[in-house]
Parts: sequence; C-alpha cells; structure tokens
Amino acid sequence: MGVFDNLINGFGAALSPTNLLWVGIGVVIGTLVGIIPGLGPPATLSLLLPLTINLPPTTGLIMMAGLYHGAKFSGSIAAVLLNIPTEPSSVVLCFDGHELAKQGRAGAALGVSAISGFIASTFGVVALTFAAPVIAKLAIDFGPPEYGALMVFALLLVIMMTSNSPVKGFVSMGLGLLLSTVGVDIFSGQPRFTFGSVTLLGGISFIIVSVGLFAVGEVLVNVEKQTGRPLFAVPQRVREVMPTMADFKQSRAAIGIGTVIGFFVGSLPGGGSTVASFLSYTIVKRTSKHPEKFGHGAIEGVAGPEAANNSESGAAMIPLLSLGLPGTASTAVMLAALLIYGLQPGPLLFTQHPEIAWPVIASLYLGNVALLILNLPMIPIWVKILKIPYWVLYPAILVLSVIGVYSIRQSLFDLFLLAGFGLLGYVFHKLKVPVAPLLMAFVLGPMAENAVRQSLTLSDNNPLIFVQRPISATILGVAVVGAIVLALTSRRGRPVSVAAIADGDTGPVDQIADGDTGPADLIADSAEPHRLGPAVPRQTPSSDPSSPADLLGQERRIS
Amino acid sequence: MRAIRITTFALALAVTAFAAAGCNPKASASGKPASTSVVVHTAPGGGSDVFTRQVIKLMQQTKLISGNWPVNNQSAGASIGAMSYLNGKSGSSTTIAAITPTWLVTPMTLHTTTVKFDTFQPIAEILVEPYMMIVPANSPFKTANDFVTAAKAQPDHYVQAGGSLTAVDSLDGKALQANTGAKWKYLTFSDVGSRITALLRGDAQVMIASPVDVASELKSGKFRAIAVVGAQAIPSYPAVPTLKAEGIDLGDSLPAEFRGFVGPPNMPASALAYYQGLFAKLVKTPQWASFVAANGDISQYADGADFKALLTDQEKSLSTLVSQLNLGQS
Repeated sequence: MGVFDNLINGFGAALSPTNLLWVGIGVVIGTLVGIIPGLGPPATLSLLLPLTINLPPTTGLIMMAGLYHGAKFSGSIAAVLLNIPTEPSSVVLCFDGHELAKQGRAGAALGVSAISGFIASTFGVVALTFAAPVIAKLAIDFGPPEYGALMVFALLLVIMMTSNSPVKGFVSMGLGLLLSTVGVDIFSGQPRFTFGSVTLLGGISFIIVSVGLFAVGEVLVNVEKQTGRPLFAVPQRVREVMPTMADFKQSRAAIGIGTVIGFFVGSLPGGGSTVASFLSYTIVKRTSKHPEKFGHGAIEGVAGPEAANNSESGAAMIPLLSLGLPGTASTAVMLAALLIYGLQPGPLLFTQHPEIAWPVIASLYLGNVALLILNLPMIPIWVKILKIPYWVLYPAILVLSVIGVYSIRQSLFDLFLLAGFGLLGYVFHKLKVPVAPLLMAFVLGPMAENAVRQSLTLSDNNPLIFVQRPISATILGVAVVGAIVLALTSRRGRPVSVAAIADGDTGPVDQIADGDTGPADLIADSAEPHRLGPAVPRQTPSSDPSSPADLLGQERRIS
Repeated sequence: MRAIRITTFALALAVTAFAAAGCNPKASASGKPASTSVVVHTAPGGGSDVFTRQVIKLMQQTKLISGNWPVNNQSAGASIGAMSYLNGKSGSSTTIAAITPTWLVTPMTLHTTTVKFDTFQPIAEILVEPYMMIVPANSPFKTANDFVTAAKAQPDHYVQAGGSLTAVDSLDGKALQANTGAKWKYLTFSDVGSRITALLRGDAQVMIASPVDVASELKSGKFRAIAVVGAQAIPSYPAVPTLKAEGIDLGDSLPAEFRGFVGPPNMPASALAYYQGLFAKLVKTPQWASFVAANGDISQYADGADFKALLTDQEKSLSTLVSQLNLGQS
C-alpha cells in the first residue's frame, strides 16, 4: 500500500462525525483562549491536555490539531487588531498587519493570514506525506556546525533588516543577544546575569519582551499623544472587510517563499515557527519590488510569515513522527500527549500504529480546513474590536497583557519586567531605535551560542569545523554570497535622503517613532500638521490604503 | 459587540482558572484533600511533566482518584522555581510535587540559592529510571569494556552526548571516567532529540540514557545497549549486563534517576498518609506494572523514612561528583 492510500485511510478515520465535532470545538476553544498573550498554541494545548487525553487517541489528537490551529489564528487576530504578539511567531504580524488595521484593512490582513496559512498548510501536509523520509534524513544531518552556519545566515539577515540604520540596529541586536544570555548556562550549570534572582534563573520569557515592547510600548506612545481621536479607520461595508483579488495577486510570491522557508526550517528539530516567520519576512521584503512599503502595511508582509508559520506546523510533524523529536514547544506537547496515550513516536510509529500516525497527519489538515470554515465568516465580527474607543481599548490591551504575562508562571516579578520592557519600547520609539533586531537576536541568541559551543567542543576549539562539513560550508557560502548580492542591490536605487532611512526597514515602534509615516497618523495626529507640510491633504485610508505612505515617502525624499 | 463578549468570556474563563488554582480548601476528616495539584519543574512535554501526567492518568484508570489533578509547571531555574513555589505552600494539603535528582543537584551548583529539598515532606518514591550505555548499531564497541579501553588509548577523542553538565547522565559518565581512568568529551544538548541525532550522525559515539528515551531506536535496531549503569539489571532488557557484571564497580550509591513525590513543608500528617496510601496502591496495580515494563523502568517503592534516607544517600553521592567537577558552591 502506497503512502497515498495511507493518507486516504487516515482521512477516512479522521472524518467521523464525532471527530469533526471535536475538531470544531478545538478550533473554537483554541481561538478564544489563544487571544490571551502568553497562551499561544503550546500553552493552550497543555492547558487542555487533561481534557483531550480522556478521549480516544485519534479523536484527542484531532481535537489538539484544531486547538493548535485555532490558537495560531487568534495569534493573528491579537497581533493585527491590537498589536499584541500573543506568541513568538506572531510578532512579525505586528509589523505590517497592525499597520493594515490602522488603515482600515484589518479584515484583509486577517483574511490573507488565514488563506495563505491554508495554502501553506496544504503544501505542508502533502510534502509531509511524500517527502518525510528524505526530510527526516536531513534533520539527522543537521548537527551543531550546521546549526551554527544557519544561525550565521539568520543573524546576517537581522543585520540586513537594519542596514539603513546600522548603528541603531546593532545596538538593538546587541541588547537582544545580551538579554538572551540571562539564566542558567547549561554548559557550565552556572547562572548568568541573574543578579541573585530566582525568577531570572530560567531566563526571560520571550512573551514578556515582545508584549512589553509592542503592546505596552504602543499604548504608552499613543497615550502621550492624547489625540482623543479614533486610531483606526473602521470599514463600514462587508466588501471592505474581505481581502481583494489584488491582495492575493500581490501575495503570491510571498506565500510561495514563506511556504518553502517554513517547511525547511520547521523540519529541523529546534528550528521553530518564530525563526521561520522572521526569516520569511526578511526574505520576502528583500525580494520585493517595493521594500519601502514593508512596515507600513504591505499585505505580503502578512502573507509570507503566515505561510511560513503554517507550513512549519506540517513540517514540524516530520521530526516528531518519524524520529520522535519535538522541534517546537507545540510539538513537545503533542509528544507528551502521544506518550500519555502509550504511543512512542519514532521510526516505528508508522509501521506499528498506522491507525494513529496517518489520522494525525490528516487531522492537522482538517484542523486548518475547520479553521478556514469557522473563522473566515467571523472576521467581520473580530474587526469590530476596532470600533471600541481608545479609552476602553488601551486599558483592555494593558489588562490582557498583564493577565497573559502573569498566566505564564504566576510571578509578580514578570509584571515588573513587562513594565520595564514597555518603558524600553517607549524609549526605543523616542530614540528611533528599531525593536525587530532585538527580538530576533533574542530568539536566535541561545541557538547560535549553543551551536557554536557544541561545535567547538567537537573540534577541540578548531573553528575550521564550520567549513569542513559540507552542509555547514554550503550554508556559510550561501550566506556570504547572499550578503554580497543584497548589499550591492540595496545600494542601487535607494534614495539618498537621510530622512527616508527609518522607513520601511524596522518594527512598528520605529514607524510610530517617525510619527508621520502611517496613514493613521495622517488622520489622528493632527497635533503635528507641520510635519506633513501644507501640500499633503488629509487622506481617507479606504480610498487608497497605500497612497498616504507613498505620498509621505515622496514628500520626505523631496525634502 | 459580540467580539467584546467573546473576549470577556475568554477573560472570565482565565480568571476562574486562576482563582481555582489559588484557593486552598481544607482537607476532609479522612485526610483526603478537596483537590490536588502537582508541581513539576519542567515545561509541558518535559520529562517530569510527562511522567506526572502519565501517573495521574494511571491513577484515574485504576479508579484511585475520580477527578483530575492539574499539573502546575513551575519551570524557572531547573527546579529552583518549583522548590520556591512549594516552600510558599507550607502547611498545604492540596499541593504536592514530583521530585527528581535535579532537585538535589541544582541547589549545589547555583551559588545564589537558599532552597533545599530537605524542608519538604517526602511522600513516596515510586520508580527508578535506570540508565544504559547506548551506542549506534554500527559501533565497533560490543561491551562497556571495549569503549573504556578505546577511550583510555585515545583520551578526549570519543564523545558522549547528554544533557546539562549536572544531569545524572553526565555525572554517571564522570563517575565511570574517574573509576576507570578513561577520558572522553561531553557534548551538552538541552533536548533528548539532539542527543539521539548526534549519535546517529556520528558526532558522538556513546550516550548514557534511560530506556524510555531511546526505546524506539533500540527496537528499530538503530541503537544497541551495551551495559546497564546501575547495580540492578533491567527486567525489560534482561540481555544487557550491568557494569558490575562487566567488572566495573562504581559502588552502590551511584546517582540514579529516581522519581517520587513530596509535599510542602508542614503538610498535615493526614494528607501525607492519604497520598502515601494512594501511591502504595498504585504500584501494586497491573496497569502500573505494564507501564513500568513498557518504559523499561524499575518499579521501586519507598515512603516516609526510607524515602528520606534514599534522598540523603543520593545527595551525598551527587555532591561528591559535583565537587569533583568544581561546580559546587564555594
């Protein structure tokens, strides 16, 4: 029996009415619970683990797939509508998704997010079914030197993200790397930068850093403006809520790039969706015909990372099911569920328990379909959140942030950290330092450090190990060539004006820092009309969402 | 405004959950607490977390408990967070915690901590995860002595893959090197998966692992077990000789991956007795026996003074090894 028959049988087993009911319940619960920051997919899965393990294995795992996709999607909702990254991989969505929301295109952003996720997930499941043995081999070949080379590549991309303001970018990245070293070092068993605090021994949670910098930081910045006007252009007609054909045409390439990167990174144990989404955002932006739009509401900036995020979840099942290695926090919880069911994931799962392995793969896909069916019609309702006046919305964002951070481990100390990072986000905005390099370095830092130290242990401190092994040498080569090519191409055709520097290359806080880039500012920020100059009329964002930013860019380049 | 209502609902859900976790109802006359939550020091999916959830499921299946025992993941600082949390629950009868050797080692190696396991009320040890020396299927080493001899001939040439430097697999490896005079390198990975691929790839030649971690690779013939590190043979792997049988005697108090449960300081005696009764019954059920056999573990029940003695004994041998590594508190 071929793999295709197996997959069909898997769908057959998964498609019972009971299972469909549970996958639906999973999607709904996942969407509701996942909107709280800190309760991303892994936390939601583990919270509901006691419930699912009392169901039969296939049903339980299918419900978990529904939960997983639901929680992932509500990550998009919170990021796009409220600028709250509820989980690490949705940080990238804040860059452009929230900008789109300010322009009244929140529905388009959410729609593209769901649909590009669906396309990528389809690819992920198909590739998982047919390419798993090859990919599993690759996962084994990836050792410390290979990860080290991959991290060099990734950190190079971080530098490229900041190439228009190198000094500030490096400061931000350096701070991110430094913050990532806090906690117990597993090589020596000794604490680093914990200052005697027990809570810091486990390191700083990514959620605290990102929610502080984004959600709390944004609230502080906007409260200071005291505009009293609505921040969002709220779409009135249903037609404006849904993404247009033009959106999809624009996103095609981004979805392709995101899907492939997500699948590749996701299939490596320890790769994870955060790295996948960051990498795809940077590459989509770098290969775009109009990179200057990124950070101001480029729909590709939503489509690419979301595609990566979702093809990653199919790919992450490869190391889990074929090798028994969880690549991400979510698959670690799935692994726990399998173990509690008495199933040992690994090379034998497919031969010994095909009745479990294939329905799990099918259910991952069904989870995504259920999400599309249940949540696309809900988008207009979600978008109504934006109608909430700011004096309700801001306290609500703060409350959600505080509850989310507190729920991670019920620590008051974490709330002080949250406040600290909120202030840092505010200061970054004032000094026009981008936050994206900090976050990316914070994620990549420990992986890079471990990989390099493990490699040097293997080679007795001989750095040549990175070029002696074919895969790592290839990745390093690609990184060097890519860096040269991109450095050359990005010089060409760039406006010389210093004022254009911060545009498009940085995180949302930086855009806010400019105080005049997003169309929302054109509407809301009438306190500083002089910045725009008399020549620029007030724009209604719904007329042409991209024009205000463009106009502004023109304006600045001229000046 | 449906969206708002939904958000409010989600919030209410969360708030209720926190409130439920925080309350501390009094134990009933029979010593049976109104509820029980179990603190573990790993994140969901980590070793202690999975084990605890499996135990809870077995308790439900064998009808020893009726409701669910929520697992509380206090994963800060490799058990320090969990220990501090448990200290804060002094006198409680509704909180217990899963203890592993990490709870003994971490306070020795972290200069700043003041928490220590001996303030807790030992409930019961229920299991030992034995360790085996594992090599890839194509390895030239057929016995532990083969590997030790080769490692003596080429010091610091071979590589052992394992967890953090102070984990039991690392310390057992150090004990073996100290005993035999062989020397090899140690490659730290935080997850078991990376250790397995390091062996499959040939970056490392040996690992010291519990059967449950490599069961799938052993069954599919990718790995071979060449020796049992502890003094006791493993019932599920009768063909694998112990190191002692191979002529390498590491003594009786080698660090072992024991698993048990403790209560907070000053836990009421009635609650203590209730939990001990539960675990004592659990280890006698056939479901427990098949769980232990499936994982290649050794069932080992000890409660009260016996468990306390075992913890003290383990602490002594761990601290000897840790001080040899120059990691101890100065």
